[in-house]
Amino acid sequence: MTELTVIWLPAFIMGLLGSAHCMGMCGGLTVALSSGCEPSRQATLSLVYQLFRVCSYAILGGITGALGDVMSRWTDFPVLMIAASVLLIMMGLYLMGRWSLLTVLEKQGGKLWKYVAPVQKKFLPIRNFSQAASIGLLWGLLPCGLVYSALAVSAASGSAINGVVTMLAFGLGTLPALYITGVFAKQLLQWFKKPWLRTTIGIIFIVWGSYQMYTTLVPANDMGSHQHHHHHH
Amino acid sequence: MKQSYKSETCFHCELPIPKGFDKTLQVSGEERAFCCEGCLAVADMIVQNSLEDYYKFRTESGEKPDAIVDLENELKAFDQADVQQEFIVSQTDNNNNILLYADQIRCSACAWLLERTLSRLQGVSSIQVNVSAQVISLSWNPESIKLSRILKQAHKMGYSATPYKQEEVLLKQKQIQKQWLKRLGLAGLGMMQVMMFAVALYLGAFSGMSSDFQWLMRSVSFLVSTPVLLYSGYPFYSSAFAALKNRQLNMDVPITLALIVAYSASMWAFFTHSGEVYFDSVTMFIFFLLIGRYIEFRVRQRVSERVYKGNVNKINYAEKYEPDTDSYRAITTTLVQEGDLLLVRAGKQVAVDGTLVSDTAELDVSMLNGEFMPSTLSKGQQVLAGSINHHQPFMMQATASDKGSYWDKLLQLQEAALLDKPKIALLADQIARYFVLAILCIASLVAAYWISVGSDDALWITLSVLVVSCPCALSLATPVAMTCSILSFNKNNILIKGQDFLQSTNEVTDIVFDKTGTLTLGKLSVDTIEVYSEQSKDTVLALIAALEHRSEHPIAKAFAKYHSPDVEMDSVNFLPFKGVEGSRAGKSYYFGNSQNAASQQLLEQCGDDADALYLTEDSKVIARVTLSDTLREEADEVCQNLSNKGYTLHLLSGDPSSQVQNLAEKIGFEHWQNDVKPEDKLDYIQKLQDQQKKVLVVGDGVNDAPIMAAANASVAMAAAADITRTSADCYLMADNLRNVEFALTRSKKTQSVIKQNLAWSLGYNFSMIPLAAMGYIPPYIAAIGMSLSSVVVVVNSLRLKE
Repeated sequence: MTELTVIWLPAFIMGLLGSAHCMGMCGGLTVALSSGCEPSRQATLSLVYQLFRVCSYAILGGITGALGDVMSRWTDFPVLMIAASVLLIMMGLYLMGRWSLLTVLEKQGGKLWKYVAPVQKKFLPIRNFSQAASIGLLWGLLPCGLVYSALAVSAASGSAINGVVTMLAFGLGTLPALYITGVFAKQLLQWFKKPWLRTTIGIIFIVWGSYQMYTTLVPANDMGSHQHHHHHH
Repeated sequence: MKQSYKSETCFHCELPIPKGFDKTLQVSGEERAFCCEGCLAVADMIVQNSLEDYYKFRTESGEKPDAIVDLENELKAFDQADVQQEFIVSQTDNNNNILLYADQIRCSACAWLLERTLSRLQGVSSIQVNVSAQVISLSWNPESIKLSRILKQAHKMGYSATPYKQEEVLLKQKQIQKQWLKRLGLAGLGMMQVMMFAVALYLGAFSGMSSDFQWLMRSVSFLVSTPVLLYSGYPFYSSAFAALKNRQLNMDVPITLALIVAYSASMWAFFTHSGEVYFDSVTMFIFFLLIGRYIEFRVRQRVSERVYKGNVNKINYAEKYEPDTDSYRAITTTLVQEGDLLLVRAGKQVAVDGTLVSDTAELDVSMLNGEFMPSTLSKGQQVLAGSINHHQPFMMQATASDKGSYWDKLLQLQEAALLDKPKIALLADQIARYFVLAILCIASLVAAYWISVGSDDALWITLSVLVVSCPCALSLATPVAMTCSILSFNKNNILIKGQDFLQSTNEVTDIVFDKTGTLTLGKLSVDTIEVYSEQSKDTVLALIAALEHRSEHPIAKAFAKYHSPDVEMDSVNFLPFKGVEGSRAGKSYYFGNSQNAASQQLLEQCGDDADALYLTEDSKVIARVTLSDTLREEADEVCQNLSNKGYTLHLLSGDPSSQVQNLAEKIGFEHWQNDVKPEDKLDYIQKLQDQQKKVLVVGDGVNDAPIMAAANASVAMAAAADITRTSADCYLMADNLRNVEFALTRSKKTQSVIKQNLAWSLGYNFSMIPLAAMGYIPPYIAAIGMSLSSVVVVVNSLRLKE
C-alpha cells in the first residue's frame, strides 16, 4: 500500500459505513428544500448539493490537517492519533445508541450552527445551481458526530494536503448512501433501523479505534523485530 | 439495546432516539422529538422555510410502512372470518383449530418454548408443535383472543408463524434450500481456500517462509473467513440469540460461543502478530456444522411434503347442479351444503360425501383404503369424498359438507398422529435442555483448568469441548425416528392416532381377535349344497344366481360368481323377508328360507335348520344350501406368523355357531370362546391384564368398542363401524390383516431404532467430552464428529421410512 492509500482508504470506508447513520437526516433534505422546482431538476440539484458538501468537508479537512501539522511539531506524543482513535470508538458507541462524547460535541456544533443558519436561509428554497452549491458548502457545517470523528482523523493525518485527501475520501464515502437515499430512501432506512446492523457497524468502529490506539501506543516494536528478522536472512 | 433507546423514533429520520437526547421542536403544531442535533437543525430549517408539507407528503405518499406496522397489518388480515376459513382445519363452538408453519422451529427446545408461552395466552386451548415438520397445531377460542395476537406473540419470540398453506410452504422451503446451498457453498469454498493457506503456513513454519508472505496469507485467510463467519454461520447465531432473548438455552448457544471466541481470538492474534491464527478451524466448523444441518433440513422438507400430501390432494371445487337454470356451476368445496346435487365428471375426484343419484358409478377408492380394484356402486349407495370417478359422469347428492367428510376426517387423523408428542420424546427434550447448561459449565471448568495450568492450548481445547458436545443428535433421536415410522404406517394405509401407539404395541404379549369382519371378510359364501334332483350342482347354483342376479342383498352376492349368461330367468319377483321367485321356460322357481318353501315332507327329511336356504322348482324342493362367512385368505398365515413371534392369540366372537370352533381349530388358536357378550369380552381382557399381560385388540364391530378402549392397544379393521374406529388407536384403511403384523413389527423396530439413536448419541457425547476436555480432539475433528453424530441418527431413522 502506498502512503496515500493508507490515508484515503480508511477515511473512505469510514464515510461509507458511517453515512448509514446520516441517511435519514440528509437524505430527504434536498428533496424537501428544492420542492419548488421540477422533479427532474431535483435529482441534479441534489447531486450538486452533495458534491459541494464534500467540498466543504475537504476545506475543513485542509484546515484541521494544517492545525494538526502545527500541533504535532510541539510534542512527540501522538496526541492526535489518540484523539482520532477515541473519536472512532465514540462513533461506534454513538451508532449503537450508547452515550458518547460525540453527543456533547454535536451539542457544541449545534451552537455553531445557530450562526450559520441565518446565512443559509438566503439561498432557500433551492432553485438553481448556485443556490445548491452554496447550500452544500454551508451544510458541511451541520452538527454531525461522524464529521467530527473524520475531522479528528484528518487532523492526525500529518499535513494540510493529507487532511484534504482524508476529508475528500470521507465525503466521497458518504456520497453513495446519501445520494442513493433520494431514490431508495425508505427501503434503505428500513434496513438501517435494524439494531443488529447499527450494532455491527458500531462494533467495527470500536474495534478499528481500539486497534489504532493499540498500534499508536505500542510503537513499532513488532515491526522492528520483523525487520530485524528479515535482515538476518 | 432496549435500554439505550427510547420507544419513540426521530421525527425527521425515523431512527431510534438515544436516551439522554431530549430536544424537541414544534412541527405542524405538534411537539416532535429528534435523535440528534443534525436532525434537529435540518427539521428547524425545513420549518423555517415553511416546508412542513414535506413531512406530510412523506407519510401520505404511502411509502413502505415500518416493518412492524407492516407485520401487524399482515397478521390482522388473518382475523377476518373469510380469510380464516381458508386455513381452519376444524371448527366447533368457540374453538377453532389451525395449522401454522414456522421455519425457525428447529429443536425440541423451540417446541417446548412455543408450547409453554403460547398456551399461557388466555383463549388458547391447545397447542402442539411438530419439530420434524415445523408445524404448529393451534386451537383457540376466537371470542377471547384474536388469532393475530397469538401470531404476533410467536413472531416476537422469533418464530414467523403463519397459517399453513402447502404451496407457500413448499415455495418457502425451496427458497430456504437455495439459501442453505449458498451458505454451504460459500463455507466450502472459503474452507478450501483457508485450508490451503493453513497448510502452506504450517509447512512454511518449517521451511522458513518470509514473514511478509506469511502475513499476506494470514490476511487473505482473515478476509475469506469473515464472510463465511457472517453469512454461512448466520443460522447458528440467529437461533442462539433468539433462544437467549427468550432466556433459554439451545444447542446453538455453545456453537455460537465457540465460533465467536475462535474468530475473535484469531483476529486478535492476526492484528497483534501474536500467537496462531485459527481461521481454518472457524471455516471448517461452519462448513461441517452446516452439512449436518443441511441434511437435517432435507429430511424435514421431505417429511413435511409427505405429512401434508393430503392437503395437496384436497379437492378444491365441485360442480353444483342449479335446478332453477338447469345448469352446472363450479363452486368451491367449502360452499357445498348438505342436499346439493353435484355432478362428478369422468376422471374427477368426489369432493364431499354423498349418495349416488345416477344408476351406477365406478369409483377408484385407492386414496381411501389402498384398494386398487375399482368399486362399482349403484343408485342410493354411499359415495365417499376422495374417490375418483373412473368412468362416466354421474350425479350425487351431498350428505355432508366439506369439513364433515370421511376423507377430511382421515386427513385430520393423519395430521394429529404426526403432531402428537409421545411421553418418551418429552423426556428426551428435557434431557437435551439441561445438557446445554451442563456443557456450558463443563466448558468453563475445562477452560479454567487449562488456563490455570498455563497451557497455550486452553482456548482451543475449550472450543473443542463446546463443539463436540452439542446435543443435536440427542434431541433428534426420538422425534425423527417416530416421524419416519409414522410415515411408513401412512404409506401402508395404516392410520395411527397417537405416537404412544408405537410404544404400547411394542409391549404387547397377547392379541385378541374378533371373528366376523376381522378374521373373516364378513362376506357370505356357499358352504354346503345338497341337491335332491337329477340336476348337477352347477346348474342348481346357476339357477339360484339367475334368481338373485339383480339383488343387492348380501345373500345374493354369495351367488354372483355362479351366474352364467345361458341361464336367465324370464321374470323375477322379490319377496321381502322371504326370498325371491321367478319363472323360466314355463317352470316356476323359489329361493329363500324355509318359511315359504319347506313342505312338511322336507322338514322331516332334513330337519328344520333356520340357517339353511332352499330352492324349489314348481313347489318341489330340489336343493338345500348353507352359507358361511369367508375366511380372509391371509388370516391363516398372519396368525401363524404372529404366534411364531411369541404372541398368544385369542379368538372371541359373539357368534354362537360352531363355526367359531372350526375356525379356531383350523388356524390354531390356543384360546377361543364363542357366544361372548361385550361385557364378557371386557372381563376376559381385564383378566389377561391382571396377569400382567399387555393386550392388543383387533376388531371391527360396534361390540368391540368398549374392549378397544380397555385394551393396551387396539386396531380397527377397514370396514369397522364409526364408533369402533374412533375408540381404536390404529385404523387399517386397507382391508388386510397383514397390516396388523406390519404395525406390530414396525413398532418393535421403531423402539429399537430409538434405543439405538439414544445409545449412540449419549455414548457419543459421554465418550467425546472427556477426550475433548483432555485435549485429544482438535477443533476440526470435533466439528466433524458433531455433524456425523446427527447424520448417523437421521440416517438410522430413515430406515424406518423404508
